[in-house]
Amino acid sequence: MRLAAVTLVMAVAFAQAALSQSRMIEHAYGTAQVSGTPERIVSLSYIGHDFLLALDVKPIALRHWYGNFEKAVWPWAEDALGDAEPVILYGGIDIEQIAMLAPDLILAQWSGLTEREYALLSQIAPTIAHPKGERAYSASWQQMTRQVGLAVGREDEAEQVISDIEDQFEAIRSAHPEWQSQTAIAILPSRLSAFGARDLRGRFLQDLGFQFPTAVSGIDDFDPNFIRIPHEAIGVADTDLVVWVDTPDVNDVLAAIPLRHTMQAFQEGREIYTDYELTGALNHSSPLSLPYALDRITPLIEAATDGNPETVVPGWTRDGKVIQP
Amino acid sequence: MTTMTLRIGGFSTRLPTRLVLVNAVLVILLVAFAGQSLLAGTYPTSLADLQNALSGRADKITSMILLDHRLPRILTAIGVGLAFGLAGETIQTLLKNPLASPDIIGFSAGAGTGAVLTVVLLGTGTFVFLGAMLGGLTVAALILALSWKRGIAPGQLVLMGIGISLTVSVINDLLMTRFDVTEAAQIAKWLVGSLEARHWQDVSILWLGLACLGPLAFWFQFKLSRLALGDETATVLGVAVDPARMATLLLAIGLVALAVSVAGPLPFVAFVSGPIAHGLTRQPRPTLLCAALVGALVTLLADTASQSLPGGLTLPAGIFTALIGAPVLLWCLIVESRKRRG
Amino acid sequence: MTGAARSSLVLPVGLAITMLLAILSLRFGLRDIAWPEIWNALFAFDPMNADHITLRELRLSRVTAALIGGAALGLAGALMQAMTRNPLADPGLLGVNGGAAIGVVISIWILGASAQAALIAPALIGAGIAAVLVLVLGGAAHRSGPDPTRLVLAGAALSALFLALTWAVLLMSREALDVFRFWVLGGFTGISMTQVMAVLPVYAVGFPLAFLAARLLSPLILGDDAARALGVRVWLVRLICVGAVVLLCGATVSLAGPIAFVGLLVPHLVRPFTGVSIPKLALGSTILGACLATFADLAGRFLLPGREVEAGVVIAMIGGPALVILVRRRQEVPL
Repeated sequence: MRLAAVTLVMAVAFAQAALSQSRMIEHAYGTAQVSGTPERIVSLSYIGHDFLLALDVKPIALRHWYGNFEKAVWPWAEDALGDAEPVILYGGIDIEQIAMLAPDLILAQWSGLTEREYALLSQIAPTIAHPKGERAYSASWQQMTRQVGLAVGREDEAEQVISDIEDQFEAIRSAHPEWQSQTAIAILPSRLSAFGARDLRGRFLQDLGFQFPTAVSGIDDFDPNFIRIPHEAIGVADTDLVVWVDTPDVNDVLAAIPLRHTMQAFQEGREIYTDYELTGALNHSSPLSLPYALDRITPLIEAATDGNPETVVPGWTRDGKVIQP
Repeated sequence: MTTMTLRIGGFSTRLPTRLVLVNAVLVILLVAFAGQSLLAGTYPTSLADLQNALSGRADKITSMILLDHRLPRILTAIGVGLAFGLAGETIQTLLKNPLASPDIIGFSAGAGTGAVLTVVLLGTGTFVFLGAMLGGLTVAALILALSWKRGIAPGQLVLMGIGISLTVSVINDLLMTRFDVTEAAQIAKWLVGSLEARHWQDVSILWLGLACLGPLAFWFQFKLSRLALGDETATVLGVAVDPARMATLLLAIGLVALAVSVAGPLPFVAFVSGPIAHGLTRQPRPTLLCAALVGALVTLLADTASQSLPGGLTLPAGIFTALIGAPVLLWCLIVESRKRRG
Repeated sequence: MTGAARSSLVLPVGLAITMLLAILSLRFGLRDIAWPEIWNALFAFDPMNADHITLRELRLSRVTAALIGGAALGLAGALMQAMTRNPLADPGLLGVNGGAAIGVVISIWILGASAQAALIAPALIGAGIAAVLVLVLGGAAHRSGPDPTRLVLAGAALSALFLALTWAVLLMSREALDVFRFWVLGGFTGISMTQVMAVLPVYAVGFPLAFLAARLLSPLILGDDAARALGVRVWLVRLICVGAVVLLCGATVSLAGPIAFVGLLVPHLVRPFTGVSIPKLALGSTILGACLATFADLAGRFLLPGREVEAGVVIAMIGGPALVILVRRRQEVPL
């Protein structure tokens, strides 16, 4: 009899605790306390909606970053968004507009939120800024996924999403052990700027197994994530794999790089071009965009690094021009 | 009647009627727009809400919007505008050159560098305007030091200021190319200054500073108007030219530093307040009070404009200070030339 | 050496130095090209030879752009200062740079332009429109043409307006920011011969017009009334002057982005040698401008290892201290 009573009491206590789950999420400007399951989430992070949608949570408002897509979500997130019609926030952070939306959670991890804005927003709803110890845009997608998972009460799903993507990377890496001894670099052709080793795009290539060319990191630069290469010194970027990142007028821009034809990567067909959406997927580096990016970029890299100069990498014409849609 | 007599107790003075009228109208406009800005906005509020908020009876969010969001912003805008207006008019009168402004003596350029370096070194934007102020002060000090030759010669100062500003702004441009575009976009937002999300802390610092420096500026007005007549005339009239010039300059720089530390390098307000005030009142310079009020009005209007864009778009107020200030200045130019021609 | 002899020696010496710098510019850089290769590149071109490509496509156009662009800016500066009788005048005051900038960002934002070549026309058009606006607001319709002070004030106001609009676009469009922040540095790298050729017609009109204006400006030193008494059509002279400045600066900014200092500084450096004569000042400024730009372009290749510093930045680094020294040595500059 006593055992039953104790069990009952424990069960009630347990249920009560479960109902009032209060989760503390630490971030750079303090700690957000979120209880229950937030229903009205405003995503101020430029890529926050990707993270939410990856966990099957639909925000009521999301932030427009760039691009002209309907509902301001990129192709890889369209299915997850479905029929929902979130409010789209343009430009700076408008506190009054957010107040009007009456949110119960504000996600601002990758948004450049300032402390003062946080002070006001946190009075409207629990607000989550970038992770503690990181700069506004330096947190990794894994960190942010975990943070979002904790905030919406789906920690397990978050872990699953992370390990799924990491498994995908691992699978590609082990299928191509030869990439581990090769160098790769991502370059924005319009100003001949290379993305550095710790930049999102640099890290993506390294996660696939490639090495970052030391000659480029040797160019002493202010921001090691973004390195301008002088035209005449383009040789340092002549790696085993050259990734030309999308830019408007890309063929004109590529034609304006006089020494491109002298690069071995060009002559041996080891260049790939990431088009607008693929580049966007790399720029976002979110749980929804990364699988999309991996699916699309892997065949391109395989074609480029197959060792046969005759192979025409998808996206290029035979004489090295990008095929425009 | 072109002048009117003002009697306060045993003190009486004669003031030009036009000046008094213009100032009065400016004050009325200022109060009207401030009130309107306080009550209008995306989030609907009414006068009743304001009363409730002040007496602590409003709900949390309305209270936050009115008292923590809008009111500090409006007070900051007005304070910053007053400071910039005063500083601009002072410097332009002092240097006798309509192109002169704190922007010219390197403040804006230095503020930009300070802002960028702060973000880079500290990794956060929390102290960005403080950094802007320090940067501005450093460059202004550099320019002052370099143009010091037994005193400050206005012509030298302006030329030096333009030159060094140009160099510093090229450095800023260079710094802006060294980031990933997302970070650069963030920094760019701060380079035009911002009135968003101002803290009560900012407001107190600003108005405390104004309370100290403002009266000082008006006290200097007498000396300044003598200096404006020319060095020799001023000396004959009993003004110690070099110390007076230096002191006034430092005062103006102090005002700008105060404003920038709170709102960043808001462009153009200091430059345009003086000429507009002059155009409206037709008084010989300096017209400090009028310039200050014009500055406050321009800044307030810029702030309101930045909040009222269609489609929920928000842009920093700094963009609107020029969009509002420049046409007014040009209009003054046109009117003035018509008068001269006629 | 007498003043006259000194002054007559300076121009040829300046020219010689400029030519020398230009030739060194072909030879040296991140990639040193040996003299025989330079010859071959010009007359026995091998399309697969990296040195040849570098010389033809990268160096030659760059040096040409620096020479012409620098010359144009120097000349424009001399004209501006002579016309406004204000030693602080810089061609940028006519709103040319601001107009070019807004033209550039709008074309990036709306037309999606990004290649350097695609930015030339918008910059030129923007510069032109800005100049017209400044002229009109500065009183071009006035009896004596544009009033210098009012012109400068109008220019400053319009420049600020353009700057605000430019910032507005930059804050709304990521692409615009990304392209603009590099364009604004001002430099001669990445300019192709085709681009130089495209802008050549503008220079072809600008330079002769400028030298004509220099001649016509001389009587104006005496003041508007005295000049009018001498039978000079003041408004026409000013108009020609401004037109020349706009053409020269507009062409340069559309080619190389906004480059500061050359117009402001060069006339000051030349004046001690050429004295009061405006045509001589103009010629001297042309040569010194070309010299400065070529030097900056060359020096930019050696300042940092493995990298290049844009010519606009180098000029600013030189210009700042040079201005400081200049101002400190002079007497009170009359306003």
